[in-house]
Amino acid sequence: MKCEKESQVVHAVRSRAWSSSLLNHVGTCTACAETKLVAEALTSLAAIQLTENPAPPAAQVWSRTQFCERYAGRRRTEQYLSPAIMAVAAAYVMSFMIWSASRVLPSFHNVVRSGFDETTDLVVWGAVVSLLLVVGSASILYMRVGRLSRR
Amino acid sequence: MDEQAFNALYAATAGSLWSYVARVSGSPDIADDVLQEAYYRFLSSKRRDLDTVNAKPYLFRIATNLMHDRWRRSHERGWVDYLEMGIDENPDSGIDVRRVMLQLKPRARELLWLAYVEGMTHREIAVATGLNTMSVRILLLRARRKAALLLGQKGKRQ
Repeated sequence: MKCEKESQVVHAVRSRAWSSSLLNHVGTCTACAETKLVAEALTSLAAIQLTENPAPPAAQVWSRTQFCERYAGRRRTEQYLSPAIMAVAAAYVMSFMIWSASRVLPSFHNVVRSGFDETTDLVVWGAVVSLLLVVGSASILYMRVGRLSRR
Repeated sequence: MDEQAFNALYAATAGSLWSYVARVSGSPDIADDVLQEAYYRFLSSKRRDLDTVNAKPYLFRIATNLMHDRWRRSHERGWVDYLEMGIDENPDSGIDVRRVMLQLKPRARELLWLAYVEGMTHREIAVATGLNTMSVRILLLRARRKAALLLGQKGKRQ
């Protein structure tokens, strides 16, 4: 059930400007009578609500929006940066391992051939400790980056 | 968009947008959250430089989508159970309109509010809700009938 004058009824309810012909029509048309009943109820509710519960101040919404924007920007930057950081860390670990292998292997060879002496012992342990330090640092860096990008 | 332009847009749209969300969700807290998120998404979008007339339906669309997301998340908990705003009387007819609104489905509340309070056309409502114009017409007719029935029953009881 639909009437072509429904939009006029809604307009009249919102503007409170009724023509006598429209009022007469509402008296005879069920669809327009329903529209008038519902529209009047809702517009009265809207009027109460605007005085009771105003929207938050514009400055508050603006500042929160700016904060969210900055935070989102930082997250985007971190997301771009984290693969680069990981690549640099991986390259560093790889090159250190290659370098240490070239230093440590001859020492191991010496150890196997002639047993421990003071010099080889120091080189082997130094290389192992350095490797542990690098792997530990890379792990901490990895966890830190992962935590930042999950936030 | 700078702060001055935002203030102008906010002054022209925030009141009606907040009322819409508060009335459809039944909660002023949800209205505050959705309003904040809607303006944030609007300002982050490519359409942030739209003028007020064109920005308004887009803001309503964002707010409607955000409400639907919340509705889906809290469906089991019962979307229509929010009665934080209390119940008061319509000064003209003594009818408890708020309670009637909460007896309607959220989609029906959206459509009725946009059509009768915001005065939007079916096409504008379609933009704001993501429905097609024909669906808006049918669903609005059903919603109006249901609301009129409930308001009529309340009126007779009083």
